[in-house]
Amino acid sequence: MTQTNSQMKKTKNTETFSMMVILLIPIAIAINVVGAQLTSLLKLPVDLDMIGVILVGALAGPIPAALAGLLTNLVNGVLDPTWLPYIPVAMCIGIAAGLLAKYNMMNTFWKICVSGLVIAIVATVTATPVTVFAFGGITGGASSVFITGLMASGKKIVESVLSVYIFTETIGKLISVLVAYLIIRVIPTRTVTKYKYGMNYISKN
Amino acid sequence: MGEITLPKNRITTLYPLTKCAFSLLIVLVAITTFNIYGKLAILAAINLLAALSGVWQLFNQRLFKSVGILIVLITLLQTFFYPGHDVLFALGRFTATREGLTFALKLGLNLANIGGAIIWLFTVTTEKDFVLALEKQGMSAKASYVVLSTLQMVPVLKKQSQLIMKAQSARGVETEGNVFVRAKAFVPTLIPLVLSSIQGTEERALTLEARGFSLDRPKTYYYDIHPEPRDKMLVTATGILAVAYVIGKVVYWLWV
Amino acid sequence: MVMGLIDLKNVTYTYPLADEPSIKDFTYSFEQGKFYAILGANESGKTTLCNIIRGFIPDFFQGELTGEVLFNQEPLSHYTLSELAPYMGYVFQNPFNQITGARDNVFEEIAYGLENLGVAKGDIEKQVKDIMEMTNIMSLADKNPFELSGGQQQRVAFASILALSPDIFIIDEPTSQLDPQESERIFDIIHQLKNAGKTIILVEHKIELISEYADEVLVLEEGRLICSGKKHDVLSDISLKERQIDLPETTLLADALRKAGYNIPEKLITKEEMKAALMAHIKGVSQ
Repeated sequence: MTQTNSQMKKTKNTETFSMMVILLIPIAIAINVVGAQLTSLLKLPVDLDMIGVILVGALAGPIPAALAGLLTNLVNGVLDPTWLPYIPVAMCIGIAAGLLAKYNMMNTFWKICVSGLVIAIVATVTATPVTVFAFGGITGGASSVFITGLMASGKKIVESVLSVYIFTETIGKLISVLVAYLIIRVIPTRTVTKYKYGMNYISKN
Repeated sequence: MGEITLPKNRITTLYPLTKCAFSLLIVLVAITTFNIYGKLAILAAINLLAALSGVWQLFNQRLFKSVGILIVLITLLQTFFYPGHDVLFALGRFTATREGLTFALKLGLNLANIGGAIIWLFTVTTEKDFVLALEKQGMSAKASYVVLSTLQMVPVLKKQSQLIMKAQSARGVETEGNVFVRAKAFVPTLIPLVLSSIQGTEERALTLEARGFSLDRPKTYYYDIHPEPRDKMLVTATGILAVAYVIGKVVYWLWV
Repeated sequence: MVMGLIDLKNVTYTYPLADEPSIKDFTYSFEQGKFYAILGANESGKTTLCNIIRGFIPDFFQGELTGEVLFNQEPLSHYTLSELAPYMGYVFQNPFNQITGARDNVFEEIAYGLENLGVAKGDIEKQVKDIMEMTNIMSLADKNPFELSGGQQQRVAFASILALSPDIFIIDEPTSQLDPQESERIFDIIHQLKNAGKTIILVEHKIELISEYADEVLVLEEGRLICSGKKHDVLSDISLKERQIDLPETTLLADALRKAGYNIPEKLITKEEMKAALMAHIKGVSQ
């Protein structure tokens, strides 16, 4: 028992679900909810409700981030079931963010831009079919105004949703990744390094 | 959620997973019913269930808040913009079509039915009970901790964000104005909030260890719930009904 | 060296990414049933020391630990953090962070540790009720722990550890958010724990309470143990004043009186002792 315990302790930070990750996920979900609340309060035309998921991905990798995405949509879905069809979208965003972090793609400005773009593409590709098939293109969200506009001008539903999402998601996810990065930069070093990919964000000087 | 006390009756006191089985059956029927009158019948059935559970009013409030407004929006927009030829009436250069209206109604009823089944479930079941039932069914204690503490953290952070917003606008950070001005308020509100809660994770992690969180031994549930014989019966009955429904549906499709 | 309940031998510890150790060559033996108070300026290593004793260092904080930490003569690293829960209770500084988030009312929050230990339901009920009465939070039983004031959360956190009834209590500033009356109550409880044979290791700034209740005092400076021993020996040492350590009023007063030429007995630290000494002095004068 002694041997295995001390060996387990050595690898604690790299455990997929260390205590730190278990405690990060609820906060991340709350960040998502507050982000969504703030965007609607400040009447911003983009969705910033995945910052927490991206943050988990950036610090702890794809699996915890996918779980954070799943739980975000489940917790919101209990009161507002329109979140539920987007569960795969949230999970894919988490996986994408986690993989990008794994390959150290989140610690400089241009890398963040690339990551934002990649996550935006993942979000657009996965969210479009959901919006089209489950909601016929109109979800009541920030982008609905534009989608409806395009539909009114005679464009097909898929076309309208896709062209609007490419635009709003690119801006939204770029901002989200940037905010997640800013958050990581203000967390004390000793806390950041307790996450699997935390060392990526410590400037070596 | 927590603030509303549930009426105690034969339905609300059922085991969470029993109610979940009902809800899943409704979702199954809802997604396989394509006839508009069939969909209406399902909506009526959910309403009846909500009424029998003594939560009809609350159920409808929640249904309206989540999907109700959306349904109205969809009906208005799709009636006009969905491609169709059978013109009902015209408003300026936009024409309302029968195809659009039918599409909108079907979509709206789907949302109401599937959404309704889920909203009913969580109107008659507390999240706490639901998570506990899942944990006793074999979900890991870590997973149930994540869900339970999320349910606690969300309102705490929401409240804190409102306080920070107030403080920000008192200090002159603009929360009104054009989109860039408003966007600039986003970061200074979110960051302090996140920072304070993430800084606390170390101590909370150790607090949990100090309370034996990671112990690998059978736990006691001080607050506990148990399925009763009627729950077993009802879940079995629901299962049989679901299987019979699927078989019936398949047979019907093959025949017709 | 006498073997104690917890023995630290030549312990030096450096946090990850830190240049300098936070605890330097620390050796001490903590014995069963005694009440130890740890003093020192900010950043002198008090909390770090507590974390080492509880095993959070190096397990959770990583970094480099050299020397030996023994619990009942066995290396502390033989236990996982949760395995130590029934033996060593730890009360942290920040009250909010000690609310687990796992339970939505105070009663169940306090019961949470006992649930994890698998204690029978009836025993949990009794234990939690007793502890809530002891800490004066019975009225909070149905409240959501997150909606309490800092002081209330601090008492709930303390009660949650009391409920586990560990042999050793490591307590890091348990009264920072409490008024004098509530602080006194906490110290009273700590005193009762000591009388029940528990070992107490306490970090606390309220020096008057320490001079009254503690058995031994340890003084840290920049990670080094600069002074330790019976409270009467340590707290009466006026030279500690120059090293930014708070001393009891009595010590300062005795020193001032001595400097003014009065013959005051050595090693006075509590108000009661000072009062007795002064009374004796006045009696001597009037005779």
